[in-house]
Amino acid sequence: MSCGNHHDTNCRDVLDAAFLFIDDEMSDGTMRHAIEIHLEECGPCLKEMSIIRRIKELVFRSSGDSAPDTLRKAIRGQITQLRLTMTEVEIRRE
Amino acid sequence: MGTKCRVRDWVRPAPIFSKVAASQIAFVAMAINAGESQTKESVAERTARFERDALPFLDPLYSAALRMTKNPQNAQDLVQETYVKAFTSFHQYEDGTNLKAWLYRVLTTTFINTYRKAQRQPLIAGEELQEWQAAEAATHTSDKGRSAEMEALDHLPDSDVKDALQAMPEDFRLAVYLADVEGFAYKEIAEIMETPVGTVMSRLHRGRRILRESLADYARERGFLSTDGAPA
Repeated sequence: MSCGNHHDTNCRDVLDAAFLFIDDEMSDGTMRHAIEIHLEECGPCLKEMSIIRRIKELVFRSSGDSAPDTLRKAIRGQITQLRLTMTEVEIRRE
Repeated sequence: MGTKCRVRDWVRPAPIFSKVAASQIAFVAMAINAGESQTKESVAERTARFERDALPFLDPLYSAALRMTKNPQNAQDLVQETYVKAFTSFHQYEDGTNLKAWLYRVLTTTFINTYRKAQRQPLIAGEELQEWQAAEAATHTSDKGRSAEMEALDHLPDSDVKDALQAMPEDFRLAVYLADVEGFAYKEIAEIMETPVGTVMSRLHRGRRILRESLADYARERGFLSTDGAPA
């Protein structure tokens, strides 16, 4: 794909690396820099990148549930019980 | 063996995990043995360290469990089981390494081994196929279409995003969740899901494309986007 304008890095290469770029997973600093320059010059690619970033933000925003207190208590209770069992075995072995 | 009765006593009846109760006895024995051979840390010290370091991840783990099971009761059972397993195998965790990723791995393994097996959900078939088709489709959006899409996304309520995520195939949903909500690196997601990094990337790509299409559908239903992609 191309927006029709000339860029040092072509649109297809930029869009192929879009997820790596957004996720900060680019090991190649030169490519990262090339994409940054491309995005300054190319409106369509910048828009595409913005959509990908926005969806990532939406996913982040839609999550984040708190665990119910009953669960918190149940887990603490189980850990306490496990600790007692383990301590008992520990003492018996000494 | 006295331990047996005690362990049975505290295991809450949970339909999905009922079979796990017996294996927990083995866990306790293993945990004690390992504790003795590897470190001088006492049970009390290990418990304190676990409560201090691992319990703060309860909310994010529950949130992830909800995404996996899609059901609050099952999510609670899953998280509870995860914490029991994590506590009894805490000696296997190396202090100073990524505890959060380790806990997510225990969660994911527990989910796959007990919950998913019980549900007998089919695994995704042909995961690596059709990748190029999705890539092709994504590059055919017009610039005008993109502007309209961006505007529509800004108007979508969080509940639509939640529903769209829930409707995604499980492995894709989990990869997207781990990357976007928990901010794990690809390498960490690969370890948590026990798959190669390439598979993680493929799941993320496909998952995000499915999600994007699905969000566009929601936007159309709400009248934020016309059927030809232009702003409504």
